[in-house]
Amino acid sequence: MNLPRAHANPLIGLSSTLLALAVSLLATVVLLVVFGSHPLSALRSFFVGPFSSPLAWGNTLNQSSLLVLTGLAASVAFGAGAFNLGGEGQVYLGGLAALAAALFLPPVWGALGILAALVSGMVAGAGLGAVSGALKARWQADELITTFLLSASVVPVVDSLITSPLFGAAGSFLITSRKIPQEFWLPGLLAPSNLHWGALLTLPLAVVFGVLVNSTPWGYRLRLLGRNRAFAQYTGLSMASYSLLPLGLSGALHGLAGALGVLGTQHALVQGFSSGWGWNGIAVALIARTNPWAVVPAALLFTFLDQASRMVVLQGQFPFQLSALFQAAILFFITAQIVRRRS
Amino acid sequence: MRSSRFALVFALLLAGFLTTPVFAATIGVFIPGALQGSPTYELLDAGVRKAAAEVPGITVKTIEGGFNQAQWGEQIAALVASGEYKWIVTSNPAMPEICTPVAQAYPAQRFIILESWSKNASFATLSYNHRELAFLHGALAGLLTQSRKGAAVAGLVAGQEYPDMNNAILPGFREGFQSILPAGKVEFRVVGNWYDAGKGAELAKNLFDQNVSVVLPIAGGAGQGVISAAKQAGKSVLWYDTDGYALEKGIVVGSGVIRQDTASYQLVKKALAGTLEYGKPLVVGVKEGYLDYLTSLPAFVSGLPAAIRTPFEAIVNQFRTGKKTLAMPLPTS
Repeated sequence: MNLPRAHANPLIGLSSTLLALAVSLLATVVLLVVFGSHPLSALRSFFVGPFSSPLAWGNTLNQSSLLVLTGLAASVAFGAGAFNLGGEGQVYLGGLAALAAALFLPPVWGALGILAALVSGMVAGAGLGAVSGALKARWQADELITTFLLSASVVPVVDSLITSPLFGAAGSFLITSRKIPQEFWLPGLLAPSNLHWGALLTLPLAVVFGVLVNSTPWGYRLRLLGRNRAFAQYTGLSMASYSLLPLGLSGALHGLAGALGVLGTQHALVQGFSSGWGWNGIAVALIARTNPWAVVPAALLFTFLDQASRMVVLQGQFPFQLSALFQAAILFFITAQIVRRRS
Repeated sequence: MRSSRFALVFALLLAGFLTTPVFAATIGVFIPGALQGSPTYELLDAGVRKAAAEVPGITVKTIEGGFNQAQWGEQIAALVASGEYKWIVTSNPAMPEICTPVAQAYPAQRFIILESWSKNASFATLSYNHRELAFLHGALAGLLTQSRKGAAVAGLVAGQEYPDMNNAILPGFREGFQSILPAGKVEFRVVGNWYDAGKGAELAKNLFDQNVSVVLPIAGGAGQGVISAAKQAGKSVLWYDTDGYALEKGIVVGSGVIRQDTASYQLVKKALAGTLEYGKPLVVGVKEGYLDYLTSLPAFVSGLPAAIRTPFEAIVNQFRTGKKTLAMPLPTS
């Protein structure tokens, strides 16, 4: 299967991506002007809204940090020639594992408990990703199918566990688990926004992955695998471990995103809390052309577009489905230029 | 020279753009879901707009929050942070829980929350006596079952379990059913979400296969599945809180109503007049006219024999006149 990867000439790749973004932004502006009852107000909300207050800044940065993780997760898998479509389930399961750790560890553990919960989330996500890797290594099962199916199965299981006696919140009208102890909350930044200190973890992680993938023999082997699997096999790469590793690593990053969502933002597992993070991570990886260095700006850009369209919806001029429409327009142009270049 | 002129024009345009006033409104109606296709929220919105129209200069914006409850808190916070709205009006039992952290961060903001109960000083809440409405549904289910000589069992299919369901609706429905059939039982099924019509149909079919005559769905979109299953099995459905007779003629044989428009109208009118009390939750029932059973509609009259209608109307009238009331279980905090 052909997978998106960095263009041989990065400048050409960048310019075509920027062109696609410009076209999609133009399409968005046209939509706002044509369908908005107060077009100027809608445009202002779109372009200024995500930066209009500390709350908006904080929420934008928090969402970006999560998309950096899921974008990196998708990039790592894509770069190694593995299509991980199970991000949604891996994030959700990571959130559940972090919740379980935070609910059942003694609160006196404090920072150690936070670390344990984050690691639990990563292990759970990695485990789910690795199952698909193992199926591929053992029976050549297509990971595109297995990651998706496993994810689709995990989400309803987690949903049913949220309200089970083990995790459920008595007396709540939300479909939510009970809150984790305050000792395990990641300290907040820019109150009352969702931003927290854990979000800062994502920047060094992006750097580490950038170095790992682009500047180490291990990263070289991963990229080799992504570009030509048969050739990589001839060079003596262990196909079994290189089927398992990228998907496991990708799952771990997704799981970490879920854990941060629980420990930093919701302080509980609310049904649907991570909806879209996995899929949006794929979009970020596509915008970044699977280059870990480009994931951070791509995540920021994607978050800006997402928050901007939400701000427009909050203006009351458009139905809530509009934000999904904007995202769809952007993804359409981004993926269209990838398909065009392949053909 | 040309470039400096260009820069000046650009700066002026940018300044104009940035200072464009956001079109202002006094009241924000936050819909935790979608407006279209949801009679409850349409009524909420209509009531707010009716009250606002009576006072010059009051504007209303309606904002849809979509179906992901995990995002509602962030959306409410963004609405409040805009500083645009004097009141946020919404409706959902979960909203006080969602709005509490926002109210803490923005203490000047006032919320009017229907279908909820809270003593928070920033909230004016109004909850409905679901036990009374569920009792009426149960009584009609009992009369129907009795006349059809089916199993002394009625079905209740819920979207999910939540405090009002467990503490008021299910017990109220059971009380009503057992007021007609003292040994009767209520089978309770949960869909697990508010949209899966297929699962709703599956659960209802299972109940009808056990010779249950009538099912009350309170399951959002999944309720359509219950109606489909009832149609196939030739059984009956009661519709909880909006006029449901037209959904499937002859299948939906009884319909309750919650007059959300009246409630939102009254509360917003008081808010605009400065007489609305915050932190003092209201509970209203059938006697106050906010809840009722639609017994005068032709679909009800033609759908049921007089042998069922007459005793049922007598029960409804007892509630309307206040001769019979039931206490609504409320949160302790």
